[in-house]
Amino acid sequence: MMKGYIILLGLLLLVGCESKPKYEKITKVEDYDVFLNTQNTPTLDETLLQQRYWSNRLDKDTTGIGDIGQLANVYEQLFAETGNMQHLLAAETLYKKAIAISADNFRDGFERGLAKNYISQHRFKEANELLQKSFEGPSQKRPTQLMLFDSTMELGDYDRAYEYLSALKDMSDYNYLIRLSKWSDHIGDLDSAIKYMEMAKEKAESHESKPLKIWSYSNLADFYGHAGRIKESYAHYLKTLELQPDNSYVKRKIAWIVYAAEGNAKESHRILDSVMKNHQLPDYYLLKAELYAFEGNTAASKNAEEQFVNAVEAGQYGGMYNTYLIELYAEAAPKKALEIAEKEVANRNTPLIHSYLAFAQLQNGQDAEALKTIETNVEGKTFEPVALYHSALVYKANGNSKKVKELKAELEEASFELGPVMASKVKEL
Amino acid sequence: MKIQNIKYIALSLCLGLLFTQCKDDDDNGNVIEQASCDDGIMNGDEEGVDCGGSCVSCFDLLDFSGTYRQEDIMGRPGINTVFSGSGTVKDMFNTSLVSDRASFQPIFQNTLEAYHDVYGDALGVSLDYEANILGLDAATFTTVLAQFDALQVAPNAQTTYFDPNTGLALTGRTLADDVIDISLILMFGGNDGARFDGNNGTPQLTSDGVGPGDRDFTLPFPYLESPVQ
Amino acid sequence: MKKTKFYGLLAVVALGVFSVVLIAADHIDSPAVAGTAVDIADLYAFEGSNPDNTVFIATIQGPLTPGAVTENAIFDENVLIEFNIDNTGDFVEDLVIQAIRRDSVMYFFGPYAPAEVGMNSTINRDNLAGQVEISGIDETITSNNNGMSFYAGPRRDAFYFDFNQFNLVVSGAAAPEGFLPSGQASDFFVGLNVMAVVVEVPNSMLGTAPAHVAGAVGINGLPDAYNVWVTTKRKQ
Repeated sequence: MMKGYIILLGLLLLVGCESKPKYEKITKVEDYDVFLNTQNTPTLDETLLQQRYWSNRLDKDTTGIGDIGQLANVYEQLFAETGNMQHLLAAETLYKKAIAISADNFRDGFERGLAKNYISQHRFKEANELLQKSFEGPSQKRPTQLMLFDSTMELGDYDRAYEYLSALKDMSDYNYLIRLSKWSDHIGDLDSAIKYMEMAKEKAESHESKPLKIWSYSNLADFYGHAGRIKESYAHYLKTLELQPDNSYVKRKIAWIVYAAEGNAKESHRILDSVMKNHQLPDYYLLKAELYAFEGNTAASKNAEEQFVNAVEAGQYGGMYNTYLIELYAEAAPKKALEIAEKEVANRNTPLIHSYLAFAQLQNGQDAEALKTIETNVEGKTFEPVALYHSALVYKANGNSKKVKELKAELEEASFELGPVMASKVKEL
Repeated sequence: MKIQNIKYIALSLCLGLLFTQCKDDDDNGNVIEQASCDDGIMNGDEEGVDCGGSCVSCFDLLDFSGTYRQEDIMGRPGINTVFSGSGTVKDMFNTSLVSDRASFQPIFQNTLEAYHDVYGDALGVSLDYEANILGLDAATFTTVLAQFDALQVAPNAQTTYFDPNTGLALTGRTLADDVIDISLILMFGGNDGARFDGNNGTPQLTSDGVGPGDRDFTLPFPYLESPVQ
Repeated sequence: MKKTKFYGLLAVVALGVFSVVLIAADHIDSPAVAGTAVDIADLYAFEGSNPDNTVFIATIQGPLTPGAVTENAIFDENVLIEFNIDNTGDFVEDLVIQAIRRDSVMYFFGPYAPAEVGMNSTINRDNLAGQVEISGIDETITSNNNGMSFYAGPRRDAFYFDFNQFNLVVSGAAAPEGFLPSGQASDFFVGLNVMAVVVEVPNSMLGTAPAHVAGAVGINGLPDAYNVWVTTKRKQ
């Protein structure tokens, strides 16, 4: 009898060992270490020079629309490069001023600038309304229509987004190709998404446009990651850093590879610590919290979460972190999570956001409502791993083990994207 | 100087040699470390990587094939910016041909009148465009602007957009020409060029008040100043 | 006290939550829609310092701020800059002078009669006129061939205009007095740069000029003149 237990235990251990994530060495410290030098910030240095140049000119003439527009662009860049929300809000103020004093035939450029700013702030409805109005007015149609595709996608108005996309077709245009890629990803055709993003990358290379190359390499790297092609993903993040050593977004992604594909939380911490010196988005605290959780350091994890919430609350981020907050509040303050989820669904009616709503409903014991949300607004409408995970939780609570099994199989294929901690949660489904 | 550029200096020095025949005197015999035209290195008598000298000419390796489609066009300064009146028309103008612009004339005339209405409203009176110093009425003036939008360039006379000293106009555009003031006079100057010149209670619409400042227009080829550092 | 409990619970949640949140963070906005490499700023055409020549200048990509923005500006290899010359008076190009970059060199073709007129252009490589290495911000490289001279690179913008006040003027109510008197007016382009292509051509290569178009609207007596415009065309 005793022997039997031992065998069983041994089997369990064996199974336990086998189910551990398989780590693979992808990165080499010497590839990226040079980019972690926090003194090397060429992009930011240049943007600060631009800021000084246009600010000086604007000081002399506060009605100078040309200077206001340029300075607004500079503040947009400063936000991207520092994560400091004040810069994004400064850009908003400047664009609004430019729109207010602009002659009719110059206004649309500033309206597109403000719309892009709103999208960064997750104010998708305002962005869409502004673009609609601008499109009907004396605007340049094509760039406005390109952005209308962006705003309708964010709002989950996919029929209209597809109409815009169809009207814009031009396979020789970078701006079209990246949107075609985004659309392909949305309908779950990752192969095409990658193909079109690769075409866009070639366009950017042929135009020798540094900003477009940076954008293409980093987005293509993300797609390779989605497809589990981690080595290619890593190679393209490195290509981005060679062009822009102070690209925080990409460094965070490398930190993710080091953690999720290699299981090296310590090195991931080191990368993040360097990024956080020059870039102040609250997001980093979340990744830190996950790394601590992975290491079994509950106190540090808790502390990082607190820092995240504090940073979001202190930062005038509006609704930019709503999805994060839904997840964070779901167990401890489910009512609050549900409130935020309902607000967010009103802000953007996408399948992904509905999956958050369903998750929040579930946490409030509204299992049937959650099921209805998933069945009506999520199932078959998105391929985002997060939405699939939320769906699986809802089906599980409602006793549909067949669906759970299907979703589990899909989620297991996304184990890199999900990361080790999450992957183990998937196993528990 | 970038290393990359050095080969192109070498290349441009050899411009006259570009079309000369490749000398077929490569001695491919006994020397092992010989430069060749397919080793991916600029060596031997090559003027670029594996081209020039005794290899194929560097120009012949360049690709100039394909079709190029018009995305922007300019004849006279500021026409599209000032008269299109909207981004939509501006885009259409930029992808139109000079010889196919009849449809833009009424739009331009409309814009010209709209500019006058703006000041009519501000002054509380009804204002219309008045035939300009060249004697062109609104329809004729905007026909010239829309349908003959090119710089006229005289090969055998002084070239100028308008020279107040000689009275010559529309024979070119020099760097020094104050094209904005000239355009404003034609739009708002009326038949004596001084209709809205800021005097007698009128708004100043015939000069933007800026000149070339410290720019130097007396330089030899390429005539433009070095970039501001 | 609530806070303590709340965060205590969060730690438990943590194991399930963070990856989800982090994936959700994968949201980079599209880059700003822009196509500055084709945007023409100005066209100049005037008699050269040799009076038998005409100079054509196209400036593009303006305005460029001094420093790295100017230094990093490049001519796009996909963009053909084309001077069009009508020497018959029908506003259809009879001759073109084309400029396009390959690597660090600007190649010039023409003047020659293009195979196709209008919206689309091709390059006939047999009509190579010359080439010049593209200048950097602190050098001026020119070249000559067959009586023609060539330059391509960054230059100070020669255009002067109180653009900011113009904006207010066209909005009317914002500037009832119109433009500002000199001294108060300010030139928007004064400290800015552009990318320039300059080519000087003997008039003998441009054919005979037609009667000046102004005759068509009753303005007579102007000297015979070519009609000249510049286009930028993007490779399809």
